[in-house]
Amino acid sequence: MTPPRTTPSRSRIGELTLALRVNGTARTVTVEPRRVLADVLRDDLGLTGTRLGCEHGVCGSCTVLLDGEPVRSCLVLAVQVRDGDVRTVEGLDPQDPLLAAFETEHAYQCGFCTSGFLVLLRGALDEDPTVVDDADRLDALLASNLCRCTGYEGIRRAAVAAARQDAPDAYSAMPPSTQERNSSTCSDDQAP
Amino acid sequence: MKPPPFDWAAPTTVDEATALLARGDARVVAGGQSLLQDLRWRRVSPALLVDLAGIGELAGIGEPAGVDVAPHDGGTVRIGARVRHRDVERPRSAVPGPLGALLAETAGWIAHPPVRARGTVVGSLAQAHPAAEWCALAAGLDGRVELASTTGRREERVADLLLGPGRTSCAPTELITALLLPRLPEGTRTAVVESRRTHASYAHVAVTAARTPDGDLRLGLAGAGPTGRRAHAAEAAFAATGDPDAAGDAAAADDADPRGHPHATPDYTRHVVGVLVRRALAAVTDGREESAA
Amino acid sequence: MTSAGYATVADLRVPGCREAAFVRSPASHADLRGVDTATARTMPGVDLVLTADDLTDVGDVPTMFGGDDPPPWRPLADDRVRHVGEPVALVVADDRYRAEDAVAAVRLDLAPRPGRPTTAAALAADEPLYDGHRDVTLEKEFGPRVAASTWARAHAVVEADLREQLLAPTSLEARAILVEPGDGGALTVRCSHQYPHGLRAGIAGAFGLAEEAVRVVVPDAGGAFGSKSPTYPEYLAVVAAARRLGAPVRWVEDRTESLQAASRGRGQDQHVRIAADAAGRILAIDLTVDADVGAHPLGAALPGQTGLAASGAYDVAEVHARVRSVLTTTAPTYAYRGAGRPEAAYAVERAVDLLAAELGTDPVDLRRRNLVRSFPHDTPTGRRYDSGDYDATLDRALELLEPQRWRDEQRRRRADPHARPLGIGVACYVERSGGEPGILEEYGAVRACPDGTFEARVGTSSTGQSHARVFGDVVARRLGVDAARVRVVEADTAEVPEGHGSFASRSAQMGGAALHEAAGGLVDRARAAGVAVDALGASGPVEVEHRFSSPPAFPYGTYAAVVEVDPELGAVTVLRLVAVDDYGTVLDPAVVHGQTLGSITQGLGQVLYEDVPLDADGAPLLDEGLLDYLIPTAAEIPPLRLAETAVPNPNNPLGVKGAGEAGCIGVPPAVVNAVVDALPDADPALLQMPLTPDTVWAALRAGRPGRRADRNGTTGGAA
Repeated sequence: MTPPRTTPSRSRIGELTLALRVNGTARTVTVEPRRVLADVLRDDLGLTGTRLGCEHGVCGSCTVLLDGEPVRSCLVLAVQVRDGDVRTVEGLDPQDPLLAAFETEHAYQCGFCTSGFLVLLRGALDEDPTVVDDADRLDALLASNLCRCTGYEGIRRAAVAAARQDAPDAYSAMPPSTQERNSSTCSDDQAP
Repeated sequence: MKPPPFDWAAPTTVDEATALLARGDARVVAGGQSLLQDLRWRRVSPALLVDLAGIGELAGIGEPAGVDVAPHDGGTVRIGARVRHRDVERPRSAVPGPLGALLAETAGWIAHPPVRARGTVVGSLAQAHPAAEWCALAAGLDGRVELASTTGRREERVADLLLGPGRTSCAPTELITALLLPRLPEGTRTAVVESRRTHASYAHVAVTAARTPDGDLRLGLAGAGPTGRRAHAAEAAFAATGDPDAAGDAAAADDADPRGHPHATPDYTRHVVGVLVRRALAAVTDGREESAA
Repeated sequence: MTSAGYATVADLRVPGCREAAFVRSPASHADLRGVDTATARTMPGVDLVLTADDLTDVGDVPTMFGGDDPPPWRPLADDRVRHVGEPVALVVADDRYRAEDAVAAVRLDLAPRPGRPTTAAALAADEPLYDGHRDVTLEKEFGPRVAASTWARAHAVVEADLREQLLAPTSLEARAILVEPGDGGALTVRCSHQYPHGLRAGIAGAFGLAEEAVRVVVPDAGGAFGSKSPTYPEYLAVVAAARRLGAPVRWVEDRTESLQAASRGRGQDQHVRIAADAAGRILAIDLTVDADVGAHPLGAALPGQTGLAASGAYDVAEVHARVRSVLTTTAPTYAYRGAGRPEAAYAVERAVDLLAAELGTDPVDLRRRNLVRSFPHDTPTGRRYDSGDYDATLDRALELLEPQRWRDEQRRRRADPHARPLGIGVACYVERSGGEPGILEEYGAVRACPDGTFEARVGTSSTGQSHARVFGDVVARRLGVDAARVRVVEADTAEVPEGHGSFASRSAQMGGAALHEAAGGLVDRARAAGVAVDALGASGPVEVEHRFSSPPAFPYGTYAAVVEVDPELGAVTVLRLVAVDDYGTVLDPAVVHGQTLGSITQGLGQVLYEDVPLDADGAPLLDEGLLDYLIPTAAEIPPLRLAETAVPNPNNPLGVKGAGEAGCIGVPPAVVNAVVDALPDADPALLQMPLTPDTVWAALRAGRPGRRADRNGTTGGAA
């Protein structure tokens, strides 16, 4: 359950001033109550790595971490996150293994969905890195977001590669191919 | 797809919230995962949003004081209006036993993890989407909701709350504060079966099932009609015959009241209701059973 | 992608930029009697409201492939609206929220007329959709008609009615444009676009500007898939607003607009007839297509691609196609990944399977008996297939498919009443890459810079195809330098003087070859000057331009699918999907592999999930957005087995053919053939795309009809 929030102050009629932490920095914004978190991040705070692909919660390009959990920033009002801790793609560690893995595994083509997948995966791997151990669990997680270019194979491989780097000890005994699906060289379909 | 203008208030008690709602033209926001969609499509444009996030008494899952509304033994579980899908999805959630297992399985069917991290169980009831799994489960278990307004508090059966797509008996000045569900006795077998077209779609049809060790059966349906509902005809047919096929036929014939959809004719949906009821029964029984009659 | 460098049109920070939103028609077809903007004009933050009356000095919207008789197309509808979502007015405000507030305050006075959502309804209408213009906006035949005697002497003749449903291209970034007016009428246009020089010409033409006065720049683009090459009416309205305000104006299309009003793909009613002799030699194919091209003939000529491709991968003596493009009251149908070739492959490959069933022969054997084997091969419909080894892709596909094991499993399941039915489907395809006359040319230039680096300019426009990487490698390889020293410049008309953009799988084949030749020219210059190539520019830049032209190329391949069906629910599960493609020489295996995967995923979308259903007037029934228009998620991807063969393109110095459209060509017929194979008791005429559970269940419930020649849909009869 989310912790109770303090009430923001009213600056002038129709607008509210609220405090939130974004990528570790305390920020104060004055916004209309109707303004959606994604727009406040993009327009008020200049964090345009959070992209809007559908604005109704389906595509996931706008995924951010709110108090550590991946959420749709297109379906959250900024006033709902008063005092909240928001992490966007810009707040990922530059050494995050996901970033390199997305490059080496060709996990993007047009790049529009990429930040949403990165944030989704960072939140999920932080909570439970074993999510990549089970192909069905990983697919159910990745099914949170849409990609129209890649067919998801590179994203799936990047998730596995990054999880291994997050916790190298846990994976040292595992042969690499057990984590791979749907590649042109390896397939685990149920042949008769 | 930007929301229309509205004012916003964050009460810290239910009384404050109901006082705000009493002014009229207000909507309640808990997780907002459906309301934000409706606002973006400008299907609703309330003057005021009343945000429940600061109301501590709506946060938890627990035992209601002095409430025992369900026919089952073992009392009732109260799910506050701020409880998220995710809160009941975890394997060892605050709700133990078979009911906890059923809640967890149901939550796992809802949207995807980022939506489950915001959306609430009670909010789903308030939205009354015909395909909502929580409406199926709550109606199927004959749950009740607590409602509050400035004129007092009342309870309503979920079956009476859900009136139609997006329509409930909750007055605009009322707030649903909690869902009350009967605890399920140890040994109760539960299942959720669902048909849907992709992982990103709504359920087409969902069936929730719970069967106690003494044979008491509760079936909930989503996608089978204008609202989530309990499958009374299927339950009765199974009680009378012990035959899952008979129960499925009864569900299709009498419990289902489907609307047309571009990708599902009413005939097809009716058929799927029958199939999924049979499959749900297979999951909570050992197949054909001796008639209870 | 996560770097600060990635920025789409919506991400650009431009001081003073206003945001635009459109008032759109809620009606499929209506007279527009009035537009009341009085309230909207006075609302907070609103700078400007434009209607058709304000744009009388702006030219018509150009149609890219408009057919024979294009009616006038105004940027904002004037006296009549002809599809839901047609732009009627434009609001410009200081932000998008307030622009949408004003949009909601505009009142339209509409007098409804009956809609005509289908080709059949349009052809039966009493009045034309545009006064003085034909509803059949293109009618064309390909190849000589099949002789009556051929049908008469055939051992087997089979025919079928097939439907290619309307699809929404659904790039995750929808359309977006930002227009900055400059001094002396100049414009800088930043647009998510596949054809910047085409957009420059379209805008310049509509506003009476010299092309040099318009600079089009394509920032990072979030996908396109064919839909982003036209000059759309919205773009002209935004240009008009920016010019009037003398301020930057941006329009970022939202998902609702995109699903309601943006261009769609496919949309064909097909009738195919095929004949064979007793030995299984295909004698004739006849294909008729009525294409629903929407309310404006933006893509009216594209169904011609289907007619041209009606031979498929086969050596058939008589092939004829007749294509009609018919105006309907829904959003325009335009290019979407494959653009006419998936439709042809689907018709031919379904027909071949039906023919095999009629002949009682194995569908793979029938295909093998008829594949084209000598090249170049001229088809009766006017194509010249350049090169290939079609058998090799079929052989390789069968190795990966392991059909015998699956046939054994199919037999086992057929004997078990509780087992789910299983089916196997195969499809061969030939596509066309590079484009058609008019765009069978591309500009490339390579410049040796004084610091020993190189600039490569090319007229293509990447929307996610890794041009910088692939073209940088092409140039570096030809120059014999490290790729890090080559900078690729494209998608900016101020930097690249001419170009035809990126569609029709033309970028590597045409643009890559142009750069290869230009780099070769630089190597020759260096050799003549007696210096190393990286010293060539030491005393000043040296540039070599090349305009490459060639005939189109013909990639090909074989796809195969194994499916199982839940017969109670009608749900289809793909157990194995095999794709063997030949794109000629592959420049960058990882990039090409990615194109194949993405295209396969879109093919899965078409065959199983995606569809724009319309109401009786033509309004799309997609109220819940992407919860109704279902594109595949990660959890919908089946186990894949992919391979490639590589027969070089003889008309290309790199040996390349286009890659990227194959998957959505090969997957649909392979999967439908597999589902039909799995369900011998279903009516194949009802197994139409998308194969939703309801569709499959209905086909099973209908049952396989008796072989009567008078039945609708699939008919057959031995002659």
